[in-house]
Amino acid sequence: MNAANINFVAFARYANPPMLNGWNIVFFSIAAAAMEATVGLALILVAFRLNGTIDVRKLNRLRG
Amino acid sequence: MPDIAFLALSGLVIISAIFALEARELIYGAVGLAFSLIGVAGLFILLGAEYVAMFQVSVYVGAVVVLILFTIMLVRRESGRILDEEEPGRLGRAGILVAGLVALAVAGAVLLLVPVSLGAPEFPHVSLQELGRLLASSYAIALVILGLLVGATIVGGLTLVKVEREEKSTGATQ
Repeated sequence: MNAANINFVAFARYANPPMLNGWNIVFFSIAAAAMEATVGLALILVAFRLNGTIDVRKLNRLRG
Repeated sequence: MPDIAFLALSGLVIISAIFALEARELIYGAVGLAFSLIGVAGLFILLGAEYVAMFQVSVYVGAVVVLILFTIMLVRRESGRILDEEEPGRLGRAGILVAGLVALAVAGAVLLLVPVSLGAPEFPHVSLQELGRLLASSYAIALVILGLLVGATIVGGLTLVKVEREEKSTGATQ
């Protein structure tokens, strides 16, 4: 995702004429990534509360 | 001079990203991630996008990495145990080697094919007002949707964490 952001900014920088659209897209991208991280960490907390561990090798409740 | 800075920053980004993935303790991984994100912010500054760099540092390093650190401390304090990771086997090392070779090949091909003389047009100094005007005019709908997404994320995260705590407290009282 950071690589994509760098690409956006770089292409906006080296475009002729330079434009600002890449910057705004990067703003949105960073905000969306921050929200993804928030939800992921909340899921980790819930998994820890339910199982007492976050070791993926022990999260095998769904095993039949 | 910008080439040296670019090389140093990209080296910092790549090395700290590898360290973040390979770190044995989660805290060190988070710190490596923070360094990698700071390096990306430096790349943004090199590209002339200071506001993007500011946003990157304040959101990623200031919020996401701190959130990750808090989660690590919360989880580890209750479990009292460090996650032991397995030594990366031969397959993992071969994967890293192949990835490095592919990256080298791509970089070599780009260097050979693209004439390096990037005649950069002079970038006009962008004011924050101009950026905000563009954000509020052309991207107004996207901005509103982003606000809704933030709200939904906050409410969703709070309910994810809160429901469990309520069940636990009622279970303790019963």
